[in-house]
Amino acid sequence: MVTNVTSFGRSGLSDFVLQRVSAVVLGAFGLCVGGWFAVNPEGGHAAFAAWFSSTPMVVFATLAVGALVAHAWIGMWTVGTDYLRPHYFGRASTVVRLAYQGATAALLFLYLIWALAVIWGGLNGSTPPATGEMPALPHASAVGEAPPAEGS
Amino acid sequence: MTSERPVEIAPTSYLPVTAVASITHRITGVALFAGTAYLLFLLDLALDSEAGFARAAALIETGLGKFALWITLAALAYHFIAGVRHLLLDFHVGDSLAGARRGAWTTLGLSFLAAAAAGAWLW
Ligand code: HEM
Ligand code: HEM
Repeated sequence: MVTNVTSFGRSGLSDFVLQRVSAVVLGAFGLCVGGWFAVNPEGGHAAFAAWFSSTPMVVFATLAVGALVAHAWIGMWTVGTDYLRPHYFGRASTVVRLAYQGATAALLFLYLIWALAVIWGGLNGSTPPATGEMPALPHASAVGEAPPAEGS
Repeated sequence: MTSERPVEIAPTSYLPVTAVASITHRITGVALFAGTAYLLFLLDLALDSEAGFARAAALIETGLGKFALWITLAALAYHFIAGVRHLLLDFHVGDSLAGARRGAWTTLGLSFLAAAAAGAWLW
């Protein structure tokens, strides 16, 4: 069996299957989101956010992000392996290909973190409830109070 | 003396429809890798707040913002349709020579309609 250290599942056959399973997940997710906009042409932030932050959608979107990372890595890897080779790049080809793979991985990592932050929302309280009806927190009065003086 | 070496068929001067369908699937796949950043950006804005949603809606009303979204959606439509065809081919559906040509034309035709529909929706 031919193996390659930079393939995703460490074997071509598992990459092949992953590429297809992830394709089905991405396709279903795309139809789902596109279908929502088709069914709700008026759209609007509140309706969209309410739908997208429902538990099934959060789970589905998280799954889709995982599928995206696997699918895009395997796909971009295939393209790079086809073109960034000695025939075109001579002895530099390994360095060129590794740089390409590194850039691809870095961008995918950015997508992963960004998408998870968007899907799971409000990291560091950056996203208050859309309705603006933020309930008063029990400890709200403590916010902004000077920390207790240190007994020196 | 008969050579056993492969014969160079120099296919440079003609591009079968199946090759067009194949290379377009690859080009749209790489385009989607970049387009994902734009879609994520729009999703981030749209989910953030009323004001963010309005900003995203305004962005896709500008010429460049609308065109970028259209290109991304058209690439997604093609990649999706060709991807489904690819999965069917994996199960040996439509993988005869004639079937492959028909499938390639169908993919190109359906994608053209989908891209036109996306354009009609956006403009
Ligand atoms: C934003 C999402 C997507 C990205 C970034 C993406 C990217 C890619 C890339 C770069 C390739 C490699 C192309 C090649 O080697 O020629 C690929 C292959 C593939 N894509 Fe996607 N894709 C996405 C969504 C989808 C969807 C929704 C489907 C649904 C059917 C799909 C089906 C496929 C299939 C079946 C392959 C394998 C093609 C082969 O083995 O030659 N992809 N994708
Ligand atoms: C008579 C002409 C041609 C023949 C017989 C031919 C044949 C093939 C074959 C057998 C494959 C492998 C399919 C597979 O991965 O299962 C392939 C892949 C490919 N061909 Fe061609 N080809 C031709 C012309 C071209 C031309 C002119 C181009 C580009 C300008 C091209 C671009 C590609 C690409 C990008 C792939 C990879 C597709 C993929 O990974 O999914 N082909 N071709």
